[in-house]
Amino acid sequence: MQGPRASLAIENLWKRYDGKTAVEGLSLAVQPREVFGLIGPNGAGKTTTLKIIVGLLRPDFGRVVLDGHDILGQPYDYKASIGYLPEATTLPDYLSGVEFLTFVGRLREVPREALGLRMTDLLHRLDLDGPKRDLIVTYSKGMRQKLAFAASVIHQPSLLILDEPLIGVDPAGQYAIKEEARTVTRRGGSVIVSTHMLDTAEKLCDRIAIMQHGRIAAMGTLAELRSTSRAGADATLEDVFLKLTEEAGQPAPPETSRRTLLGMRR
Amino acid sequence: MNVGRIRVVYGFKLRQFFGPVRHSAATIVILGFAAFITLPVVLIVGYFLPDTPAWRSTGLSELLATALSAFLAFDLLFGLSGGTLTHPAEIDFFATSRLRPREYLLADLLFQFTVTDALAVPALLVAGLGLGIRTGQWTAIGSAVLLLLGFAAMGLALGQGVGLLVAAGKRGAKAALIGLVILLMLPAGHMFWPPLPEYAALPFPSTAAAQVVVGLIGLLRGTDITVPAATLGLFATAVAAVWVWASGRDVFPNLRPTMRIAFGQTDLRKVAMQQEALTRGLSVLTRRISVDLMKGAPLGMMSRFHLVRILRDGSMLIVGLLTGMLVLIGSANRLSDAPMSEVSILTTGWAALMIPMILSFNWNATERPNLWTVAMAPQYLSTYFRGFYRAVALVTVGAGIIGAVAGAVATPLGIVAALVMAVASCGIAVSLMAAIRIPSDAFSLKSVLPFLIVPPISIAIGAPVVAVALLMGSFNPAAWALAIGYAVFVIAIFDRVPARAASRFQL
Repeated sequence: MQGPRASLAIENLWKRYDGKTAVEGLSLAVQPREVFGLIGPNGAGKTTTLKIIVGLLRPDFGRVVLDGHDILGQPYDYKASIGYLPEATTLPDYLSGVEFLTFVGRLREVPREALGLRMTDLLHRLDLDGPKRDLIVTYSKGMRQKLAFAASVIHQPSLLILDEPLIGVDPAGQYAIKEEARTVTRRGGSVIVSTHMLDTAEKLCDRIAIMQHGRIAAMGTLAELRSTSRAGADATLEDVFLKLTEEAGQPAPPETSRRTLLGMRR
Repeated sequence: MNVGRIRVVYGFKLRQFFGPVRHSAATIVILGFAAFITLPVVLIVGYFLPDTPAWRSTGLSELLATALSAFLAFDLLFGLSGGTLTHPAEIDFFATSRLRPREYLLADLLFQFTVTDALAVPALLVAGLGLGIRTGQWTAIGSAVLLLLGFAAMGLALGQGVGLLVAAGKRGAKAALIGLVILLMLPAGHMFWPPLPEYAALPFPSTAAAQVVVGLIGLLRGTDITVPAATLGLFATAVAAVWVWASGRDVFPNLRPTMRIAFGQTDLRKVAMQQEALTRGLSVLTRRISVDLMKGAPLGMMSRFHLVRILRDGSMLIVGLLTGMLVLIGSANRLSDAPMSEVSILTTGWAALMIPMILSFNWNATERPNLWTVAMAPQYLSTYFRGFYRAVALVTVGAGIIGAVAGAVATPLGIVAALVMAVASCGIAVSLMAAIRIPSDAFSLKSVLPFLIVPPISIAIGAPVVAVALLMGSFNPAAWALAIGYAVFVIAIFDRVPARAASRFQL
């Protein structure tokens, strides 16, 4: 599974909390210059996986390797190259858009002279240059999402992780976000997108992993997924997804075998 | 450790928290006005402090030790929520950067100190100024202020350190924390039950700090001071050890969003969310208490529903704080040997009147938007508000009675007066919420209305009981018959008022 040039490799990842197994032996690799889609039903383990990659959750077992470095062994420095847009962000109401981006940019150690230019550019492309000095409390849901996206890419990360990035964003904003994601791959970086918007995933992603019950039900290009699912050459990602998740919705393996694996803590 | 990153995080937290102040001229004017009113009063209080009964009381050290123990206990209880004041954006955008945990925690500690303690500095300094003008003992007063601030900082560091251990799910950390809180507060019961040991008999850090402060005050009177250096040194070392150990780990996966509001925040829904976040650590008491909504009549079901909601939505934090304040006022009254009187209920019981208003404001912020469910079955709308009233009344009466009994300043008829006032305030507050649509996202004239209406009317409704007691005597059977009859009448009336008000309800 893990290619020699993979920018991110996840090997046999397990995470269990609140009495449920959220991620179960997950393995995948994301290549440079690739937009990798993570789709799956609610509770499939997508957000848990992303939070483990960005260091907001600790796995019970497994390895996450970023540019050759095990992130559990070096839990801080690798974050310099990651950009993260969480699902349902909460932004500080009483800061202006510019103030918020300045804080994130400085914490991301963007040189001050470059930070101003970068902010101007991002705010312009996301159509936020008008209200940039307004308080965030006055922003609409879509404007907040675009501002959060700007914060996630302010430092030009080489691995951009987006969790439902387009919810509530207007078409122009969606286009700008997708363009910025493609810019990351054009620079040689990688993008991981978790989304329920299958038409977007179909157009944006080079490869897609379909997750269910914390496992990968299928992974590959759309053509490969069509072949795996035997959904036909003209099948959309939605057709493929529904077929594969229906097939994957079989009874889970016995709990005892999971416990045995979960006992193997690092 | 990167000082630049600490400054950025600290700066973010400050700007986020004080955002409304920076951006609203009205808030600045209101704060300035509050300072203009308050600080001269504090100066006068400081000047006349040596004339108060508490100043000469032998129990001053005990009272101060109680207050400092309560402060430490509060810091520790805050630790149940994770120990940090974290805005959700900090988790999403800061914890996913190269920031080290200790840098974040140090910035958070500075921020906590700024918003919880440093804001009290002007008041402390002005009170010290008044006392200094009176006594001329500037060194002793300055030392006492510094000691109190240092103690406060250590309390915050302890709360953060222990909170991190609790958040990391360390076995026994939560039980140890709760045990520590009980141990800290147990001697406070000595005032009410003498067999319990008093603070002076125990080597608590709060006792040591109180002894030094009282010793410094003693210097003003020309007596000697003994500094319990070993206890204070041991406490400081233990706090430092806990903090260094806890902050040396990767705490980011355990951070919880506990800071959603800003100073002067007008969004009451977020304020309610903040209360819920701060009390989430007490989930043992709140989340695990279930309610059987299948049993009994609709009114009983509604009352139980509201009681559990009040317990879970964080309202209990404020109720607990206000009850604690009532007990503290009561303790101070005991210390100064204030005589029992019916009138005192009107002065010491005022805090209880705040409880129904806070509970109804919390309801307005969190529950009103969900009321479409009940509004779709309008025949139950009046039952819903009647149940709401009964739940609020139960909580308020309970807190009021605790306060009145702890203070030992109210006669039995005084307690009847408190009961009547509490019932009235609950009925009026709930009825106002049912009848008037108060926006939860901004301050408006309507949102001030309950504060203008509820306390004066409630006190007026309680006043006849006080008048009967004063005119006829507390132990006169006729006075009792009148007071009880009046109380039953008030309870019966207010049991119906919220149901009537429900007919005006608009979602």
